[in-house]
Amino acid sequence: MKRRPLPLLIVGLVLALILAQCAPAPTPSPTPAAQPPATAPAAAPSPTAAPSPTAAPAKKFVIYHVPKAVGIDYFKSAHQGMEEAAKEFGDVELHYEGSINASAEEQIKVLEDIITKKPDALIVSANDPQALVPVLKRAREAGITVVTYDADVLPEARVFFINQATFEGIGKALIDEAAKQVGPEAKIAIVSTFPTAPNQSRWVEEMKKYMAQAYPKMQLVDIRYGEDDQAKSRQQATDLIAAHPEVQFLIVPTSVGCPGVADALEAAGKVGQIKMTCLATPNGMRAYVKRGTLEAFYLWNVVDLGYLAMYVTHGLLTGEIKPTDKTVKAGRLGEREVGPDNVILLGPPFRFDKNNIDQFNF
Amino acid sequence: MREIRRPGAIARGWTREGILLGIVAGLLIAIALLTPKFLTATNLQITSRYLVEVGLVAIPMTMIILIRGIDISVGSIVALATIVLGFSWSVYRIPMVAAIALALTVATLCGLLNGLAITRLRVPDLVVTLSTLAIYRGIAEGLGGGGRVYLYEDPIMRFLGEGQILGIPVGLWVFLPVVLIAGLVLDRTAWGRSLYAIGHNETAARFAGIRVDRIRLLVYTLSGLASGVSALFMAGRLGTARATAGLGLEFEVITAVVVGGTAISGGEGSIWGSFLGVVMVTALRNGLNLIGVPSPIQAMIIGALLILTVLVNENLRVRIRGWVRPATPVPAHEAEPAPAANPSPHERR
Amino acid sequence: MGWKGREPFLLIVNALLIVILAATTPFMVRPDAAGGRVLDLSALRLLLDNYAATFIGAVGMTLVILAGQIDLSVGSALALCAVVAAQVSQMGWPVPLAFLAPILVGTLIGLINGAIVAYGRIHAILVTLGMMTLLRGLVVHLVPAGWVATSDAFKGVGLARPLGVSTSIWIAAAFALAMALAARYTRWGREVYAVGSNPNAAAIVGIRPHRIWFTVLLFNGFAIGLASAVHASRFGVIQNNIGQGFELLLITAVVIGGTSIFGGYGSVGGTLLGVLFLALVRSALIYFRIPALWEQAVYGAFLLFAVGLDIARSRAWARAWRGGTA
Repeated sequence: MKRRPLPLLIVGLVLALILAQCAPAPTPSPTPAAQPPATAPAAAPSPTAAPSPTAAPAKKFVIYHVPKAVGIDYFKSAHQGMEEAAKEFGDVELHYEGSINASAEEQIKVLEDIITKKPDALIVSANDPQALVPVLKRAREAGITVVTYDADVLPEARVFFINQATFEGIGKALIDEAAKQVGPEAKIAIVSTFPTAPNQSRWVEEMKKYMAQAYPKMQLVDIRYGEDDQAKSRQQATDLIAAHPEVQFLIVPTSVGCPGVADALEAAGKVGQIKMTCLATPNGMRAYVKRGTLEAFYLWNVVDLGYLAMYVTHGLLTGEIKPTDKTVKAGRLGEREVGPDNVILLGPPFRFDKNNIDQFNF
Repeated sequence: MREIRRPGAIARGWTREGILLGIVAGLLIAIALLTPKFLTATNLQITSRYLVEVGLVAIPMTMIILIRGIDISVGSIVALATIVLGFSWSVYRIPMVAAIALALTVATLCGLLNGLAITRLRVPDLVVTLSTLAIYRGIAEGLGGGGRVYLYEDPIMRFLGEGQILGIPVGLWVFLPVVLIAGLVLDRTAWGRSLYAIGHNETAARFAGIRVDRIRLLVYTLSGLASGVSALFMAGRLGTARATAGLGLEFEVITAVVVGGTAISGGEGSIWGSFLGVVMVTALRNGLNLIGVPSPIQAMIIGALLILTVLVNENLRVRIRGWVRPATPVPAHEAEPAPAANPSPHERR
Repeated sequence: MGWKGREPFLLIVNALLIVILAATTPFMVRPDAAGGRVLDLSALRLLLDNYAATFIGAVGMTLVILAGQIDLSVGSALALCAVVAAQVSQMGWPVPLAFLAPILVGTLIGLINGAIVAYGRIHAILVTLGMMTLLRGLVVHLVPAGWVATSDAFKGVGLARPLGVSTSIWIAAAFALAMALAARYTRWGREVYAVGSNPNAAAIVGIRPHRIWFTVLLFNGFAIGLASAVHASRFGVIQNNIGQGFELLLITAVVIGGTSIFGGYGSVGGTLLGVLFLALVRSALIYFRIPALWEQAVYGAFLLFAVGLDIARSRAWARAWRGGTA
């Protein structure tokens, strides 16, 4: 066989890469990751003094906002809130990065590359509460402050979690709406995203629990999964209502699937016969509410959520807020309490209907 | 024998992979210049873990594509292996080593099933792996019940996912020797040569006594095994076992293999090229992330890159093999003349 | 369409599925006020409506596969064209323009694909693999907000029911019929089969394979544009992540419909039956209350079963070499 010096060259390339790894700069020495190194805020790498908020902020805090996925208006709205807060402070350099798909694996890739850039803080909405733990822990070991919002990770991997509404609160609101619109003996069905989606699964769990306790005669006929795809959500909804004509109320705990289900109701001509509610953004559902396809839906003020998250993060960086604080001050939102596991709640879920929907733009 | 000293052989060996090497080296240098963080030990270590996960699967994929096949179920095999691993360890409480063995067995079986369906049932490979793409992941979803298993506490998983020996990630210690062995086998053994033969002209290979079906069965099984091993590293790195693991892996792998110069029509390509392809694609993603290019633009760049690379590769190939070209312009993939009885379904792409 | 093809088999299977569904579930039968049972075709009609875009896309894909190629970019192209349709409908121009724009964009994509394949001399599977990633990135980049709304006028046309049949089905039926006739009765159609069957032989006879590939990819682009227009007109909001997995769905439908993955054998009619089969199976999973978690596995198994059964039945692969009938 021919000699092929080429493979040798390739081996050489590989060796070079490997040597570059063995070389200097070993991995950041694993500090006992136990206590939140919210010590002098992430300024560990940077030379400027940290805590005094009075010092002229010549330095900007570099903060990365990593949502579940880019290209989703919900997170863009949260980003809006963060930008608002950042403007109030004046010393924040805010970046928005994430993967195209809401996948934990891809989010981890993005996070790892961001960590290499050593920002001061990360604000993350996690695709998976456990999968992101190793990478976020590594971030904290590197001196980066980690705050989660909208979707949490295990508490040991972040300082605070900004919760939009409790899981129980959301479950209760949605089920109560069913009872209100149809009655305590309603037959309901749910169209969710993925069976593996953590938020949605929790919400469904809470809904079931609350149903059993408050409306024992209410029945959950079926749950289907629209996989975050409009067309699939619509098809699933169409088949669902046709296969189970007894269903009176649909709950769609996802802003991505909601329009699809609403479309299905309209196309099947069942508006009015079958009612629905969901979690969705006002901009996304405005037309449907005005048309009467659904009477009301729930969410929370996403912009405020981002605003609060940024306030908390900035506070941690300047030292105004400590990880052990029990209340935090958040600009125009006032004060918020810190609950167990360092969770900060925004407030109860908000009900949007055709009377108030025009006041919001997100 | 055709292989003797024709100008094409030397030119082929040097030119295509040589150019690829040049491009990859240039790319790495360019990225290193654009972001100083690229060449840091931490970054390289992290990136090489991804490299390993994609690369392990790319090796048997190269072989499969060489013999004019394709396997798009690898991502689903990873998912199934991950779920089997996680759930047997946490729910059924078997020791991690046993769970690993079980996961690898399942993965290999998946590959074997693919191979059997293709060789015995004579169902075309695209159709089989399209179905198993759904079936394997579906089983993973069903078994997993939509949940996830937290593997972070297990020391073996930690080692696989984060461990280093002499500063080099564990995965590389496994992957690089595999690359070396596979490359040498393909270049220097008769078995390796037979893959190229099958890819060029299956009927002729059959008549030459090469056990085509047996080889085909073997490579698909290997693909399953490789997916299983990749799943182990992936589970270790992520620290969790979920049914969504490996989504999109097949496309990443195929992109890397094709960028590396393996022709989709079979018979052309090498492990070295695929290795370079994997390096290129991984480094590019990492580099773009470090530079701060947003994900949608990254996707556009990688898509364009694939098209460009294939354009270059293919036209280079035709140029080099110019003397092989018949008078009439025929497509890159030739069809064989009318076959004997019971032809294999793989003859005609 | 003689009895050798897969079409009769599919026809029977589909009919069986419908009968079983009708007999055991509320699929097509509804209890009426008097307690008796009444035929209610609305579920079936909605099913067809929802799959109209799939029908159109599958017809385009059939031609591509018949010619021996594969187009993987259809999902991302669908998203891009649909978003374009929505955007155009918002701009207040007459509704037909909102139908035309996505068709133009789709055809353009098909043109690019075809040109690269024909002049670059590459198999379409690679080009379209790259295009798939590229277009997906483009869509997300162009629509960072995540979705674009469609105008009510546009939706009005999409959901209208002239003569009781929705516009989507009219369009899909017309397109499918045109393509089926073209494949069977035009010279171009014959050439497509020839090239798919044996490109070398076709070249020798004087047909230019690359030219045929260019045209089928161009047509496929047009088909996707049309499909996306139909799709977009039925939704109030178009999200930027639609169409994922669409390519696999189409390929599955085409293959189930009896078209050989290598080209040269198959038919448009078979594909239509294939789409119907997949749609029925998907719905049946819900009607039969298969737990959602196992849906994917059952679906894949069905696919393999259907193909395997038929291949076992038609053992004589030699038939595949003789070229196809429409």
